Parts: sequence; structure tokens; C-alpha cells
Amino acid sequence: MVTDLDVLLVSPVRVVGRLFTLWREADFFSTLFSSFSRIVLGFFAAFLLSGLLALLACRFPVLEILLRPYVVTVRAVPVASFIIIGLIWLTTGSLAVFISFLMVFPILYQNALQGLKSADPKLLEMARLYRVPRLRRLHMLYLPAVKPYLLSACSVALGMSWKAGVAAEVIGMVDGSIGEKLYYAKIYLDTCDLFAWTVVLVLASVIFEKAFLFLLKKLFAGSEKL
Amino acid sequence: MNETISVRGLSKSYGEKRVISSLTLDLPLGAVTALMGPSGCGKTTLAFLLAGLIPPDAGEISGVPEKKAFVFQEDRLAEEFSALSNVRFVLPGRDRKRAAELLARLGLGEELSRPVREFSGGMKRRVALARALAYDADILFLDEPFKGLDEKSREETVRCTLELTKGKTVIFITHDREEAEALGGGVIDLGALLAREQER
Repeated sequence: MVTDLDVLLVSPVRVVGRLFTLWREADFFSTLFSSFSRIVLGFFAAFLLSGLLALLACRFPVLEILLRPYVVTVRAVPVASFIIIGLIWLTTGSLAVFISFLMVFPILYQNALQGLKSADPKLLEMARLYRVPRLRRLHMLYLPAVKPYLLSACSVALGMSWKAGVAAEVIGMVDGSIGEKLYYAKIYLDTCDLFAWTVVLVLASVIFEKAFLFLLKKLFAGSEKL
Repeated sequence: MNETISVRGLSKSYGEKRVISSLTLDLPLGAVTALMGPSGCGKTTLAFLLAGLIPPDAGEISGVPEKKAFVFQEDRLAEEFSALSNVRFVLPGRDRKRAAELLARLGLGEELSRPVREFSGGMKRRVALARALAYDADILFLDEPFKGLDEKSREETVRCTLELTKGKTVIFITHDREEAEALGGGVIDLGALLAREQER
């Protein structure tokens, strides 16, 4: 029998109080770092691979056609299905990396490709006439075209990587992760812990998103000065 | 070695509209040739054909030097980047010194680091011209390169262009006879020439 109404909806005061005790617990930072490193690794892997494949698909349109069914499938299939497949294929440690990668890859790839395709054809024609090396074209013609697409895609993908990554940790019961803490909060009906860890998650996700977008914008601004 | 660029029976249409029809002419290498004529008579199309930017429907072009520079009608500059970056973009080794020198000669020495999106039409035109002149091409296509320049900077720009293109092949496109003659080379009235070809 439920004897404490906090199980249904915990008061914000209690959550804040729990947050103050939570961060002082011995495993708080190791738990946070464990989830952070997996999710960020998945995101960065997707970021790099989507950029590379978008470049290749822009150069060789046949690759875009070959990749299209995979991208559409990954976008359409529910994340839970991938998590269960991942549980069979992978170790629990790498599950969050895989899921975080899989969920953000299509978003980043499609936006990067669209951005590359939006590069001004007249400027590209000018660059071909002047025989400008490909790397320089990439820097001055393609990067500015990709910039708005990539910034907006990253903004969506960063949040999604955290949601999907933690969902994988919960289902996979990954040792020493935020997902595991959420799982135990469910088992012990500890709504206060659930809310406190959710706040930690949201904060980590927002801080990482802001920091990453800030660095990305700086990178673009720096490249424009070269 | 060829002394001329040879154009034989050249035709080009855009959809139903025939722009150039059976054009035959020779253009001297190592000299300035002004292609003159009213707007829409096919001057830019001929320059694009000569530069190999578009294929002809029929006819042949031979003797065009390999290393080409083009001042396009729409400037074609990377707007987010500085004037200096835009000129360095086309130079071997991104030669900063040469880019800065050319921009300074065209009166943009104080504006090297400013993004070209902040420039006026005339300033952008000079950046596009500086890019073409700095490139050290064997043939330069200048499509109305002095459009939008005020009287003073036009004189300076014409003088600089003449000096830096000495001994090179220049195809200069304009609809202004006075401007065509100012460069001191041959003048081909393309409008009249194409009209004659069509009458035949």
C-alpha cells in the first residue's frame, strides 16, 4: 500500500533538498561522468560520421541513394526496438553509446547533406574556373552553407542523444549510470530520487548543449577569419 | 602556336530562345578585345562558352588558354568572408601579400579584413576584379567590370586593369562603346555581328 503521497508527486522543496544531498554522495560524479562519457561519445561519433558521409554523398549521389533506406529506417523504428537489439548484440556498457549514436546520426546526416547541397552553385562554378583546391572550397563555400543547418540539427540532436542514451541505460541497467539510478528509483518507488536525477540529467544536457553550440559557433566564426 | 582564339559555327540556345547562331570569329591572343552590344545580345553567353563554363549546342572553339580568370556580372564573392580572404581564395598558396597588394591598388587597402557583405556594390566589384587580376591568368573575361563604380574609382580601376593585363588576352564585355574603346583594344560589335549572321 502506498503510504506516502510523495510517490505520486514530490514537492519541489524536497527535490531541491535531495539534490543538495545527492551531489555529496560518493558515486554522484562517477555516475554522472559514466553516463556523460557514453552519451557524448555516441554523439561525437555520429557527428563525425554524419559529416563524412554527407560529404561523400554530396560528391557521389549514388551513396545518398544507398544510404537513404537506412536513414529512413533508423528514423522510423522506435528507440526501444534498437535498445533490445543492442542488448543482444552489445555489452551493456556500449549500449548507450550505440543508441545515442543511432538516434542522432540521421538528423545530423540529413541536415549536413542538405546544407552541403545548398552551397551556391555560382560560387562553386567560380571556384572550379579558378581551379581552387577542394579543401579550400570546403572551407569557404561549403562550411558557411552547412552552418545554419548544422547548428539547428545539433541543437535538436544533443537533447535527443541524452534522452535516448539514458533510456538505453534504464532498459539495459548499465552499472553505475544515471539510467541505473532512475531504474532503482522506479523499483523502490523513490519519486524524489527520480525527480532529482532527472533535474541532474536536464542540467547536464542543457550545459553540454550550450557549451557545444558555443564552441561550434566559435569554430565557424574562427574559420571565417582565416 | 595559335595566335588567335578561333570560333567556328558556334550556336547556343536556352530552351526555345536562340542566343548565338552560327557565329564565326577570331579573337587575338595577348590583346584586349571588347565584346560590345546591347543587353541580351549574347555577350555573356559567348564569354561563358569561351571560358568553357557552358557547352555549345553546335560549333567549335579552339585556342583558349588554360588558365582563366573571370569577373562575373554578379561578383560571386563569399559574403561572410573578408575581401582579403576572397582574393586569397583563388591564389596558389593563398598568397596574402599579392592579395593585399591588389586590393590596395584598387583602393581597398583599408578594407582588407571587412566581410564583403558590408561592402557597397562598387566595392564588391573591385574585390571581384582584384581576385581576377591577382590570379595571374593567361586569359581574363571581364563582364562589365566597372559597373557601379564612381567616376574617380573607375578611372583608377581602368588604369590598374590595363597595366596588370598588359600582354594578356582580355575579353572585355560591355554595352558602352566609350568604355569599350577606353581599353584601347579591338572592339567587336557582337549585336551587329549576330544580326548579320542571322540574316544570312
